[in-house]
Amino acid sequence: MPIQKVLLVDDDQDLRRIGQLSLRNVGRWQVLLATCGAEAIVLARVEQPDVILLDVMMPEMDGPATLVRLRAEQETSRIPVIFLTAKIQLHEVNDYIKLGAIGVIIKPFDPMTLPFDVERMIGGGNE
Amino acid sequence: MNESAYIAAGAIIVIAAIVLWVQFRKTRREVVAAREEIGELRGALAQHEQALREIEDKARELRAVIDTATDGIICVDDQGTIESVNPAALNLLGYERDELVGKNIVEFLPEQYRTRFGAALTHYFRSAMKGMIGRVVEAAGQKRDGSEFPMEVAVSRLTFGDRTLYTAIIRDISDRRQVERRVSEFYSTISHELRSPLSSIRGSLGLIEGGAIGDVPSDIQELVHIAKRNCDRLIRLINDILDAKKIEAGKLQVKKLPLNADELVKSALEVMQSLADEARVRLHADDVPRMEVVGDPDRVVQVLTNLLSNAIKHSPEGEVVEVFTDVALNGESYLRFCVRDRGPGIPSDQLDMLFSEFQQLDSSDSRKVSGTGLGLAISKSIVEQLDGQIGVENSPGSGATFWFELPLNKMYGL
Repeated sequence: MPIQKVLLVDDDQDLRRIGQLSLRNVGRWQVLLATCGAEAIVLARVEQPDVILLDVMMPEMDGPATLVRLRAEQETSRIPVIFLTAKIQLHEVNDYIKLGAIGVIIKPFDPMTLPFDVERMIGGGNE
Repeated sequence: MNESAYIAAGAIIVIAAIVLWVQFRKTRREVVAAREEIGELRGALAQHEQALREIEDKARELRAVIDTATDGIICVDDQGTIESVNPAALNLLGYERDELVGKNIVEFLPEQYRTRFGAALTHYFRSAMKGMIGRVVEAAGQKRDGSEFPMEVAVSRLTFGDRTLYTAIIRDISDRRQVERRVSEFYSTISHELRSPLSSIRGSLGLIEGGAIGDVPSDIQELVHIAKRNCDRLIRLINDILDAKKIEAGKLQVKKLPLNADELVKSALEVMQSLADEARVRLHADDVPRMEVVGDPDRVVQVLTNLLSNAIKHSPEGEVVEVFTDVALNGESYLRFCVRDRGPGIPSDQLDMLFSEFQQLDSSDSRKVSGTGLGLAISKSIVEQLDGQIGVENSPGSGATFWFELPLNKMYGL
């Protein structure tokens, strides 16, 4: 399934902007932005994005907790989630996959290749 | 009485006197000998008493050491029956002495071992005690209130005739574990806090350089390229420091997957091409066979790029850095990746410390050649975790060939 709409969730304003430019200008996708887990859940429920890029370390509800909530709700349970994280410990990556994420993208990511990494993890193509 | 009777009586008296004299002399000798013997016995007794006092003194000293030791000390026989416990062990475990002495130690092992081994626990414990002799191992302990704690255990064995005693020295390492956890969290936070701003900087520069926000004048493009290159250098530095900390903590983890050798070399060359271009050094790869090795793709490329980066940095302008492989070495079970440069080589007195941490050889060179000196130590750890080896063939004055070997997949059949 080609990707058309992406939800990017990050509490860092700068990274949201860079991610938005990358996904919009390089990936040619519609990009929705959320600053926290709670906002992401509402947006995901309403907008039904094709994929969610979810930062791991966020205040209040972190990425893993947000994923658990997304999986628990019927409207959002099937939306693929990719974690964005600066933590590169292998056991943590495995934990994220066990939670139901389809992949992990390590920060700092290359904005010129980010959309291709997302496509590869989704297993679809942007036609 | 006639004369002969007097003579006979006199003779008898003389003989009796002689017999008495001889007997007296004999008895006197015996008395002297007995006195000497008594003297010797007294001396021996005094020596024994002295030795006993010394043994008692030593035992008191040993008891004082055991009683004041900050580590717990528990003595058990070969059946696991507790013979003695020192105050530190009682304090650590929260028991009174008479609650432990005479009981079998398996009764006091943590619930997790009892659940895991069930009826075989005593057997397991005996073999575990034997296996721990002469080593320091980490295990779980359980206090009287049921709470578990991490401990370090050192076991020694004493044999008296047909009797065997095991002495276990136990140390609560909860505090150390907590410090380790804090250090790990600290590095995790540092990693996040350093990478987040770098992600923004590199991301912004990458978008400009990649043309994602439109064309920019060539001067700006050049400055953006310089900024991005130095940003990448900072990222590599942070990665190296974090890797070094992981190695120190024994937490560097690698995957073992089948990998195509030629793709690994291709990826590494792609990554290093821009560095080679800037240094005006040519990269050349011989035809690398399409053979499968076993390793972690990111980590193997990290080792290759590290060797290539060193080779480029130490090569004079216009020279070539070669990458090639050899399968004939090491019993044909390993593939050797080689990176050869035509730089100054390595002074022979510095070869030994080459793969140690923080070793940038020849400090006079450090302005010309940048780096943390962590790369080769990290590479060595990665290669060894992948069951391989790393080394160097050196020709001072005419270059060096760094190599590492990875097992071929035919060994694993993944």
